[in-house]
Amino acid sequence: MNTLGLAWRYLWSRPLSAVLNVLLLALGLASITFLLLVANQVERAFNRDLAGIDVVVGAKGSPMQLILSGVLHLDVPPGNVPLSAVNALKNNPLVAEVIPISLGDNFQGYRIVGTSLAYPQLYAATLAQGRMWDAPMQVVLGATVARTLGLGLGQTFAGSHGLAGGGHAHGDSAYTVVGVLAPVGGVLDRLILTDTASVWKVHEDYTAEDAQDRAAMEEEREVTMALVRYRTPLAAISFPRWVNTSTEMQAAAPALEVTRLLHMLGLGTDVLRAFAGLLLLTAGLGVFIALWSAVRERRGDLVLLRMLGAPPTRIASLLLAEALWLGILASVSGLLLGQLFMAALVYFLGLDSVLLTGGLQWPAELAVVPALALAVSLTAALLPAWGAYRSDVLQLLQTR
Amino acid sequence: MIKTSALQFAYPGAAPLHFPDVDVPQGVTLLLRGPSGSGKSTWLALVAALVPPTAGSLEVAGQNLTALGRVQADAWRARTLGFLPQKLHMSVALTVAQNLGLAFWAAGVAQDRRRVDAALAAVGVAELADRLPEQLSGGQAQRVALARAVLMQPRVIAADEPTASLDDDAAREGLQLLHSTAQRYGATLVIATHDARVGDFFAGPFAVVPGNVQTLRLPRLERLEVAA
Repeated sequence: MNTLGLAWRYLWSRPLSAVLNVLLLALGLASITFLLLVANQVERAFNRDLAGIDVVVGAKGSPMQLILSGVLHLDVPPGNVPLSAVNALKNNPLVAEVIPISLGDNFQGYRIVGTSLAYPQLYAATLAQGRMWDAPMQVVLGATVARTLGLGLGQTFAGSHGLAGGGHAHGDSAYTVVGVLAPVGGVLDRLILTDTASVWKVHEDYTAEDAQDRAAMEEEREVTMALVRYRTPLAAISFPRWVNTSTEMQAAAPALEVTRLLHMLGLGTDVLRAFAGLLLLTAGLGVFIALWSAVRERRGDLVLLRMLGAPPTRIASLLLAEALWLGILASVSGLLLGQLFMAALVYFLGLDSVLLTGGLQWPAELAVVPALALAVSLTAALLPAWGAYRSDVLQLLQTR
Repeated sequence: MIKTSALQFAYPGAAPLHFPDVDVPQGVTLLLRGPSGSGKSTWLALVAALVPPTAGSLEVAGQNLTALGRVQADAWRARTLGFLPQKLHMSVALTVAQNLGLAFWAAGVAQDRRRVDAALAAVGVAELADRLPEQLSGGQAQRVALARAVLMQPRVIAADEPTASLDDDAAREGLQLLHSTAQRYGATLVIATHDARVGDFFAGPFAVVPGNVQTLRLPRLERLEVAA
C-alpha cells in the first residue's frame, strides 16, 4: 500500500464526510464548468453564424439590432432599405459580394427569409433532399424546420405576416417546398429560405389593387438588409464610414457587435462567477474542517506512524494525498455535473442551434476546473498537513 | 542492548529530568517502573529516538542515538524498534494485514504480505489477517498489535503498559506471549508499567536466569509543570 492507497482508505473510512466534501467542492466546480461551457457555446454559436459576413447594411437604428435580426435571426429588424440602394453597394470596388435578406413573414414561428442562393452557400449548406429554388414561391427548408414541422418535398403552405407565429395568413400565395437542407448546426437550420422576389410577390399580391399600383410598388421594392463580404480586409476601415455618411443606411460589423453583446452578457456571468467562487471558498473550508478534524481524530494513529518510523514529511504527505483525492473526485464529478447542467439547459430551453451549439463539448478552458479543484483542496490541506507534520510526539505519548 | 549514562531531558521551562543509568544486554528484559508522571513515556521517547536527550549519552542496539539526525533517527526507529502502545491504535479503515502493512509504509519499504502473514502466525493469529479491527476481541487486538511491532524484526521491543485493563489471567498470558516473542526475535524487551503484577510475573518462572530481568525504577517527581 502506497501513500495514495492509504490516503484513499483513510478518506473512505468516513464515507459521509468524504461524500459531502466531494459534493460541496463538485457543486462549485460544476457552476464554473457550466459558466465556461455557456460562454464557450454562445461564442461559438455566434462566430459560426457570423461566418464570412464582414458587415451588415440596413436601415438606420441600433447596429446590434441589425446583427441580431439579420445574422442571428433573434430580433426584429429596424426597418427596410430600398433595393436600389442595396444594388448600388455592388458597384463599390471594396465589395466582393452582397447577399440580400428580406424578412417579414413566418410559418409557424419559423422565419421565411427572402435571399439569394449565395446565402446558403455562405454556410456551406448542402441539400438533404430536393433542389434549390429557381423561381419565386419555392422554398428550401432548414433541417430543424423540416423536422419539427414535418414538411416534405412538394408540400405547400402559406406564410403569416410578422416574424413570430400567429400573424395574418397570406392565404392566396402559397409556398412550395422544393428542397430540404442538411443540418449545418447553425442559424440556417431554423430558417425557411426562398427567393427575395417571393417576399415582394406575397406582399404585392396582398396589397396591390391594380396593375398600375403594382408597377408603382415594383419601383419601391425593398429588402431588409444586405450581408456584405469585402474584397479586402482594408475595406473595414473606410466602407462602414462611407455607408454611414453618404447613404441613408447604416453599416454594422457583426464581429464588433457580437463582442459588445458578449461583453454585456459577461456582466451577468460575472455575478454567477462570483457566486461560484463563493461556493468554492465554502467547499475549501469544508475540506479544511474535514482534514483538520481528521488530524485531531487520528492524532494517536499519527503518533503510532511516527513510532513505526514514518518521518513527519511522510505523514504530512498522507494528508496532502487525501486532499488530492478529494480534488480529483470533485474535478470529475464537477465536470460531469456541469455538463449535465448544460445538457439540461439546452434540452429544456430548446436553445440548441439558436444561442448554443449544444452537444457535449470539452473546450480547453475546462482545464481550469481540475486546476481549481486541486488548488482549493491542497490549499485547504496545507494547515492540517502542517499540524500533522508538527504533531508533538512527546506530548501525545503522555496524554492517555 | 540499551546503555544510558547521565541521561537528562528537560521540557521547556521545567527543571531537567535525571534518569538512572542502565546497561541492558541484548535479549534481556527491562522493566521500566514508576508511578504515573515519573517520566516513563519520556524515557521511552528517548530510547525510541523520538526526541534527543538534553544531556548524557544513550546507546541502543549498538547505535549512539545522540549522533543521529532527525531523518536518520526515523529510519533507525523503523528498522530497530518495535513499539506496542497502550492504546493499540489499530486503524479502523484498514484490515489487520493492512494495519501491519502500515509498518512497511512508515519505513518506506515495499509491502511484503508473506512477512505480514509470518508475523501474525508467530503470535498465533494468522487467521485474522483479513478481519477489520472492530471484529477483534481485546486479546486478539493485542496480539495483532504485537505482530505489527515485530514485523520489521526489531532489536528492541518497547511495550507501554501492556497489562493495563487486563484481568490477571489475560495479563499473565499477554506477558508470556510478549516475553516469548521477544526471545524468538532475540530482541531486548522494555516494559513500561506501574502494574505490580508485571514485577511479580518476572520475579517468578521467567527470572530463572540471573540477570535475565532488570528493573529501572523511576521515582515519583515533585515537578511543577510550567506552561510553555
